[in-house]
Amino acid sequence: MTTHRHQPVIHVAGLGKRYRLGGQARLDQTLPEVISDSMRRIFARKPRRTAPRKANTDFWALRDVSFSIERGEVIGVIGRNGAGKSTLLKILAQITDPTEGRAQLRGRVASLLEVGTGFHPELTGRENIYLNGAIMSMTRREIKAKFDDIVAFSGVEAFLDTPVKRYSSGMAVRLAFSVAAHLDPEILIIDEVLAVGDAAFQKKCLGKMQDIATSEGRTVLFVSHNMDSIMHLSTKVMVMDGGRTGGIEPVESGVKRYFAAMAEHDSTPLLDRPRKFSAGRPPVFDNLRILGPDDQANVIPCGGAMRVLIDLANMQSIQQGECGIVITNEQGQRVAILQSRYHANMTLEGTSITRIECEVPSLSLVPGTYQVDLSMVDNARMIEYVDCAGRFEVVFADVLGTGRLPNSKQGHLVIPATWKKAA
Amino acid sequence: MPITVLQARRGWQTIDLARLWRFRDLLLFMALRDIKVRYKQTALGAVWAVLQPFAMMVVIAVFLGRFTGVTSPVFLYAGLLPWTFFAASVNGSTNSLVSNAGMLRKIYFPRLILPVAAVGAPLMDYMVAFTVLAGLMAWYGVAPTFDILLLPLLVLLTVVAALGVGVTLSAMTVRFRDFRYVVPFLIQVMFFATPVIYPIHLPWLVRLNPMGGTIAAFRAAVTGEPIDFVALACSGAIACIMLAVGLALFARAERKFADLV
Repeated sequence: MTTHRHQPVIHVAGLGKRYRLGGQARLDQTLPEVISDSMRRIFARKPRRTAPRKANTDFWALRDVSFSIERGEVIGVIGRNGAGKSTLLKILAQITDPTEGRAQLRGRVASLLEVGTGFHPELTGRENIYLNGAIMSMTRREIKAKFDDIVAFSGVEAFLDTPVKRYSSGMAVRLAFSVAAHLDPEILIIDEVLAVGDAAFQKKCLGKMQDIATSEGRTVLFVSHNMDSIMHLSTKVMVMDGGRTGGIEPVESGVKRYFAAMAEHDSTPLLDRPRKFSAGRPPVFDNLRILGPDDQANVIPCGGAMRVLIDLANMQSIQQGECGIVITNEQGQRVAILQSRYHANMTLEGTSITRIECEVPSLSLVPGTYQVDLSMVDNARMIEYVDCAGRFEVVFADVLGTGRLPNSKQGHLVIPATWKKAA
Repeated sequence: MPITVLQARRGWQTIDLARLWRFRDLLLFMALRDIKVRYKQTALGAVWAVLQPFAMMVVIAVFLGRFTGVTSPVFLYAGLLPWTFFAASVNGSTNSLVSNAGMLRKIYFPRLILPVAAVGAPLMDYMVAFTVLAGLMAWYGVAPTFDILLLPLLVLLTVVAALGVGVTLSAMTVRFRDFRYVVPFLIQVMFFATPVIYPIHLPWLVRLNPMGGTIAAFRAAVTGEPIDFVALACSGAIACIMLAVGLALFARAERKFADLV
């Protein structure tokens, strides 16, 4: 019995997941090809011809991942977009098989990878609680026993008999999280889903997750981009980068390493960085500079002017290029896009262009850190997308003249307005 | 405490019946979901369940009766009723995985639940439409015989035949959407190859057809004619074999669903 207790709840060894390019296995084959291929394989005298597998069409979303997690730990999984966090969670949640390696889980696993999956918009909140509970492996009796707790925690009592399609996204999150949290799993796996809810409910959920771990001795594995909740909640963290991880480590050193990796990423020349999407052609985005007033790099006072300078390369074959600058906030929500065609009816063609410039006269975003992605579309087809090509900080400036500004939890924009007392 | 081991699986798999049993309530809720949603925002509601076989019956009696020599409403309806159930079940099963793609990508549960639960709503329709058969029988003075007690078995065999086709096609549809277009065509061909609107006249064809003997037996039970038990046994056996093959294929393809769908 005692040896039992010391066995890790989650033990992962050499886990890897390979996708073929395009994210799907051999979709380059049409149905007739598959049939004739398998016929040939069945009837051929010669041993099965091993198709030359082009290494460059393979993509390892996860490679050589090994770690162990003890009972009662709350592990925060951190890493940039595309680092393999979601793939790892999908494997542990049994949604997809690993390509190599193995993972061993002790106890019942519940996962919440997306809010409201399995919710049917036409059904009421009550009906959806039963359906969602059943999807997460609860029996009817278990759901009935916990029903009141689930409803009370979610705070949607008043809308129990309203179809979920009339719910706000916040309400749907609350209901979904409540069902998952009352599952009594030994292992709870949560992807970054709480970002959708309001601040108060987020706090409640984090509290519930902490309860689950500390008082009930259960294990939580969660992904977040919000370092605040990582530091508050996790007992340990796991940093992922390029599908690999150094394993479980203390929160402080992990977060530090994460920031260091981010900084290193930022210092790599844009032309050499991996693309989130590229249509198999040489990269077009060569360099990006974000300037505030007085040409200060990456810092813009609220309401101040912002200039974005983009150097381009390999533009030879571009006929009707449209460049997009996508601005995302810390919660991962897209705040705005500056698009050459939308804003200026400007399209790019040929080799002559090497630098383009976008100017925002007054940037009315609330103070905070923002991420900039770059996209290039040619003839209405995406040809390149660079995730996190740059970052900038919006800092306080007294644009409203009152010495105050809304913060990032209260809103996204700072819009000038007049107020007066009506007589 | 259950221990789960996750690693790459290759080749043929067995179906984890214990796990399927643990999720039995999900089967019920998914079927209920489809039933509740089916006729939402329709003016006629469940009347549609009756209207489909009934309208077919009228059309066939008027236009095809001359060629088949069959115009008896009871005869036609008793063939069309189980046929409609079969066709709707095959269709629902085949599309069940693709139409619940979001669930496949984000939640784990035994995937087999989806094509099986898709039979629930057609079964409900079947029961509603059955009342009309009872009405027709009363109107035309057709009295049921004791053979009507075979009904549960015939419904079961219809479900087996529908799943035999539907489970296989659902797994294939995940990879190739082509199969969605195969289904209406396949059902059309089977409709004419099955004694739905005419009496048995090619016995060997009826026996090879997973629905042939079952539909003939259903109609015979209703109209009080002798049941062709040889045809029923052959069709039933073929339906069972098809289901077994379908389940094996499904279990083999299942692990790739989340990546492909």
